[in-house]
Amino acid sequence: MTKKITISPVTRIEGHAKVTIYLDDEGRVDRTYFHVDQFRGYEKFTEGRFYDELPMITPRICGICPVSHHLAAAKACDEILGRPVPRTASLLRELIHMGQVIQSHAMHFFELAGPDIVLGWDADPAVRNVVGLVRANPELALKAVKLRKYGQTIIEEVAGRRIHPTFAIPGGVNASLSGDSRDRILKDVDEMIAYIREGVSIILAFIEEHKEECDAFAAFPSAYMGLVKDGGALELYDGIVRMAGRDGRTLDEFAGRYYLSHIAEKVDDWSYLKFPYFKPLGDPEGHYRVGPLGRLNAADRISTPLAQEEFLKFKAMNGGRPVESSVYYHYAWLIEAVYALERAREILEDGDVLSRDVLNPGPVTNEEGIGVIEAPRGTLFHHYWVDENGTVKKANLIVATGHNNWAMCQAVDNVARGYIQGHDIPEGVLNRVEGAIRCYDPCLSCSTHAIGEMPVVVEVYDHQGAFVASRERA
Amino acid sequence: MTGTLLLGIGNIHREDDGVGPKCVDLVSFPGVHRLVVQQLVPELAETIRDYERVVFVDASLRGGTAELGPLLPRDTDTSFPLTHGMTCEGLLALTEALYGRVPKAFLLSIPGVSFGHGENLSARALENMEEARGILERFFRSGTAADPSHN
Repeated sequence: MTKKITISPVTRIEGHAKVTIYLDDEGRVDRTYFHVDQFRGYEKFTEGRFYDELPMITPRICGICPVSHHLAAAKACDEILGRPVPRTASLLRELIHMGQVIQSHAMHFFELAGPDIVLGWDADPAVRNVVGLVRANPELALKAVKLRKYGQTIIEEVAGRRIHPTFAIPGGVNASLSGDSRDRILKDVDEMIAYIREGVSIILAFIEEHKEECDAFAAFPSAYMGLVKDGGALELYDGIVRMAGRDGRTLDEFAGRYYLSHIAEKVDDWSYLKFPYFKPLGDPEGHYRVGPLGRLNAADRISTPLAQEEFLKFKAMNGGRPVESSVYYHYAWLIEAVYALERAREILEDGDVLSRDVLNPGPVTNEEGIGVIEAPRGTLFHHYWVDENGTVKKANLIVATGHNNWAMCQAVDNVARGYIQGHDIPEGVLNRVEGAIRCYDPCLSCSTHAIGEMPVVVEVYDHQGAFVASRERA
Repeated sequence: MTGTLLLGIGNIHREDDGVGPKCVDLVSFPGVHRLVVQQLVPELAETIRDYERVVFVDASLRGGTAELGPLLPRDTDTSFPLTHGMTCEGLLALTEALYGRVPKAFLLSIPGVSFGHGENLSARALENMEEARGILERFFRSGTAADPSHN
């Protein structure tokens, strides 16, 4: 008899993100599915709008990383204009992107991963949350809040508002940076780097203490994708797309505008979300991972010194081969946070950053534009088709959660097979299954949030659909 | 701790989910600061800690009419295992844990019925928003937050 376990955060409005695990007669995992919605509704919503509205509209997709959508949209609009963006405008866009990365990565590590790492996978779920983390380590928690606030402050000082900025516009940005703003951001950067390095120490101690489990946790081979520039250096704002293979060697590099020639999407009838893969390798060999682990596995180096120190340790963790365990995402998030802080300082110390040459406007000259950026959780593509007046005819967005769809399914299946033995499933095991997804930090329900019931439900059914048992925690 | 924060939560591009921010944009009261966010995030703890009162204004799925009620911190409700969402009660609990104090808090929930992609509110949400505005006016004119149901 096959039994079905469902882990389902009953969603906000538009559907479900849930884990379904089928067990065989002996209580072993038969197969596992991870189901999630995607953002097709927003693509439809953009049709008929004027193209220069999109940098303001698309950030509403996400309440956590709106700046990434804002900038990807602006970059796509630059292509529709067909004019170069002034260097200072590119620097300021990259600066708010670093602010986004700092606050988003800090949230991932300290608020989502932190409870598992600081309190333990098997801690009482009543205290295994951010408040439990505060009580266990109040100083660390205050630093985490300050880090997030620092990232938001960068966005506010440069772009004028913390969320849903209107700063990037086709051809550049709508304001230059003042010297006072630059100085206010610069004065705290070293303190913030120290905070993140404290987080690095915590994750390295956790890895050392749980090395065997960490190495095996949701570990599987895949390809890896991320932006690079200047001979393979990690890049988050503007570079070429690199696809690295399962052995870490570069399979291909291409400009983002040619993504449709390199990436295809498989459809399965059990998921709303498609499964992208690298076309030349096909399905399943061509499935890849994005986000911090994907980017660090694809890159050859990091251009800033402190992040490069950590990058070398990361690269050594699997003997120079790609790091396959999903739990190492948590380390990669922090390495990138160090990079984002160092890169923010570089930008602020650049001689051009206060220039007032920030906009190169012009008429619509191209009827297609593609913007690519490394959002905190992975590569983000915005692709717009417009008419000669700039009215949007069609849009295609591929978000990080979509790129990582296959990987999250693999991760959940891997952990379920490793930990579930029999029909009595301890809470700590379920937490590990969820933890496999948390490594990838997907955006599941950022678009709406109306007050409603959102318990996590685990239901067990037999192969004929008859109810066997359930677990629920709010 | 002084003053009151009126905090609208929601996505104005998801129809009735935007009723909280739109309601907050409609009103203005002396000594009441207004803030609109798409969702609650941890650093808001630093924002709300210095207020005497905070009134969250949010869309609701429960049906019925707009309601104002008190809220208390709930530390088991700080976040959901697979999402980035944070509840009002969880944010209050985080504020209390971080700073040792927390404002008096209320939730004005405004029922909606349609949460697709779009910028317009449904007729039902518009009605409920008007009612919510009246509740806020009575609440702030009364000068007391002891029992909002009597305002």
